[in-house]
Amino acid sequence: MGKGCGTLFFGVFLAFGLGFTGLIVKATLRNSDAHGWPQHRCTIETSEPRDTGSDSAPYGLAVTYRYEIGGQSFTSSQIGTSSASHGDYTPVQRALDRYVPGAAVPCWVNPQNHADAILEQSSRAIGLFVLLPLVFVLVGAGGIYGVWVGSAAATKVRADRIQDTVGRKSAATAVVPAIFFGLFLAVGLGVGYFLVDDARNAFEAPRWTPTPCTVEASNVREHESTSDGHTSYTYSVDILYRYQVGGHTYRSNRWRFPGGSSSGRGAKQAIVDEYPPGRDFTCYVNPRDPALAVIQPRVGASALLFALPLVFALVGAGGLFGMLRSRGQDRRQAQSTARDEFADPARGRHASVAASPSRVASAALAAESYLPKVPGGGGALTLEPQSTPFGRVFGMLFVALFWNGIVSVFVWQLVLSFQRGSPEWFLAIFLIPFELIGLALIGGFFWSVLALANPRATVSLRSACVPLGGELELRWELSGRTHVIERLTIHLEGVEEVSYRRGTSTHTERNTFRKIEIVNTDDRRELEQGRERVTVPAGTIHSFEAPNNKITWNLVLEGEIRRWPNVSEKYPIVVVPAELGGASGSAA
Amino acid sequence: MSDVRIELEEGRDTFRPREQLRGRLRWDLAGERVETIRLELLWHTQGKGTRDADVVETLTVENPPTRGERAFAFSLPAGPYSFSGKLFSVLWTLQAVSEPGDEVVQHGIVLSPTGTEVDLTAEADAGAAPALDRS
Repeated sequence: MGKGCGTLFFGVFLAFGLGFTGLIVKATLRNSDAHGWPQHRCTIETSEPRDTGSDSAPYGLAVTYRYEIGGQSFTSSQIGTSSASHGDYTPVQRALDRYVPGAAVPCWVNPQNHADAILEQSSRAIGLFVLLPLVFVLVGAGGIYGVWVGSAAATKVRADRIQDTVGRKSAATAVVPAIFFGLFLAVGLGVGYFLVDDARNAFEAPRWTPTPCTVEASNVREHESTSDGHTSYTYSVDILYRYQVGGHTYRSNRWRFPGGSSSGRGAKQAIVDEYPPGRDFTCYVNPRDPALAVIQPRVGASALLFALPLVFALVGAGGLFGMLRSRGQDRRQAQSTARDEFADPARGRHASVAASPSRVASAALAAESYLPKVPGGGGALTLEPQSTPFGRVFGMLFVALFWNGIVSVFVWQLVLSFQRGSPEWFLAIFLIPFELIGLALIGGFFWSVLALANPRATVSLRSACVPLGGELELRWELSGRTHVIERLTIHLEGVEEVSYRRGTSTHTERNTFRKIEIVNTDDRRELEQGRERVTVPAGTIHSFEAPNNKITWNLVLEGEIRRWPNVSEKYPIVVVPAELGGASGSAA
Repeated sequence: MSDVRIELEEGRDTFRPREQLRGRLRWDLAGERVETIRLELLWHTQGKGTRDADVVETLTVENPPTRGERAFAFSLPAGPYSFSGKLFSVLWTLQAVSEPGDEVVQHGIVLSPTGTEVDLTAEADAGAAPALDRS
C-alpha cells in the first residue's frame, strides 16, 4: 500500500515533468527547423495591423513581402513558424515600425521549397526552459526509485551484512533540501525572466513623457479558463489609443504595469467607461522607446506581483547558500579543531585556565565520528540558541505563507463555487482541517512576533564540551524587560531522536530520557543574572550523532511570563565519553 | 559449507573504552573458493530509526588457505558506548565477511566503562533525575 501510494505520488511529478519536457522539446525542434534556412533579402510590400478574432489576444500583424531566387520572384505573408497573436499591442507596433512598405529586410527561405519563407526566426532560448520540468522528472523518477529500491535495500541490510552508513551522511541528507531549494530558485528565476521588463517599466513609467493621446477603441476583454469541468472568467482593460512622436503615429493598449487579468468585471467596466472612443487624454510615453506607452503610470498594489518571483528566488538562493555555508563551516571547524591541538597554548584566550582538558582533547574529539561538532572548538563561549527570535518569526511566516498559499487556491475554488450557486460541499468539509492548521500557523506567526519584545537571554559556558562525570559551569544574563519574568528555570536535558521512512514521508520521534534541573528561581536578582555549576552524571550516555539516530544534550532556559509568550531558548552542548575529557575536575 | 569463527581472548564479551580487543579469526573453507575474509569491528544502531553503522577497524585476509587462523588486536575507541534507549540502541559487533559469497559471521560485544550497556530506559523509569545534581 505504501509503495503504491509512493509510486502514485512521485508518478504525478514524473508525468507532469515528462509532459512539459515533451512540449518544450517539440516547440524547440519545430522552431529549430527554420534555423537552417539560408538568409535572403526581401522587400516589404504591405504592412498593417489585423484583428486575429481571438478574444484574449486580438492583435496581430498582416505583412506581405517579395523576394527573388534564381531569377524567379516569390511573395509570402508568413512572419514566423507559428502565427502570432497578442493581447498587448506593443509587439504589433514594433513590428509595424520595422516592416515599413518598401523597406528591405532579411528573410529566411526554405531551400526545399522556395515558396516557403519567414521574416522572423524564433529564439531557441525557449529550449533552456526544459530545465524546469526536468527537475520534476528527477524528483519523480528519483522518488519512485527510492520507494522500490530503497525499501528493498533496507530489508537486505537487516538480514545480512551491516554496512557503513555514517560516511554517506553528508551526500544523502543534502540531496532533498538541495532539490527543494533548487526548485524554488528555478521557479523564481523562470517567472522573473518574464516579469523583469514589466518591473523595470513599472518603476520608470512615472518619469516618462506626458503626451496627448486619443482613444480609438475601448472594451473589457474576457478571458475564459476551464478547470474540473467548470468555466470561469477573468477580465482585463483593453483601451486602444494613438499618439504622435516625431511626426510618427503610434498605437498602444497598455493601461498599467503589470498587465494581466483578474476577476471582477465591474471595476474594469468603470475604467473603460471613462475612456470612450474619441476621448482625448494624456498618456505617458517612454522617451527611449516611443512604441511603449501607458495610461496609468502609477504602480498600484498589483505591483506586489513583481515581488513573488523575487521571494521564490531569494528563498531558493538563501537555502542553497545556507547549505553550502554550513558544509564549509563544518570543514573549517574540523580543521580548526585539529589546529588548536598544535597551537601555542599561551596564545589561547583561556591561558589562565590551567590544563584545559577539552582543548587538549580537541584532536581526539575530531577523530570520534559519532560526536556532533563541538561549538567554539571546546573552549569558553557564549552559546547560540538553536533558533533566534527573528529566525522563528521568519520561519513561522514562511511556513504560514507556504501552507496558506496552497490552501488558499482550493479555498478560492470553493468560494467561486458558492458564487456560481453550485457549492462544492465535499470540498468545503475536506478543507476544514487544512484551514484550521492554516489559522493555527497564522496565530503562531503573530505569537512569535509578540515574543520579539521578550527579554534576551545570554548563556555562556566555560566549555560547550563536557565529559560524562565532568562539571558544567554556566553563567546567564537576561536583558531588556526582565521585570516581566516571574520565574526562571534552567535545566539540562538528554534527548533521543530517531528518523525513519514510512511510505513516502520521513518521520522523526524524540524522547527525553534525562532532565537535570540547574536553576529554578523567582528571586529577582538571581533571575536577571547568575552562575551555577552542575555535574553531568557519569552513568548516562554521551552525545551521539548519526544520519538517522541521535543523542542530544541541551541547556533549556525558560522564563515564565504571564499572558505572554515565555522566554524559551535551547542551547545545544556536547557531552563526550569520560575518556575524552578527563573525568577529574572541571570541564574548562 | 565453510566455517568461520571469531574467538575472543579469555572468552570476554565486555570491554572498556580504549582497551585492546584481542582474539583469533579461524576458518575452514571446506573447498569453497574464497578470495578474502574481512574482519570488521563496527557499531550500529537498532530500533525505531533507520539503521546507522560505522566500521571502526578492519582486518583483511587475502587469498586465505583452506584452513587457517589469524590473530587480531583492535584498539577500541572511546565510544560510542553500548546503550539501550526507548527509541534506539547502539550495539557493537565483530563481523567476518567472506567474499565472494558475502557469508557473514557476527559476534556481539559490549563497549562500556561499567562493563554493562548503559540503560536509558532505567533512567526514564526512575522519573526526574535528582533535582539539583550540583557541586
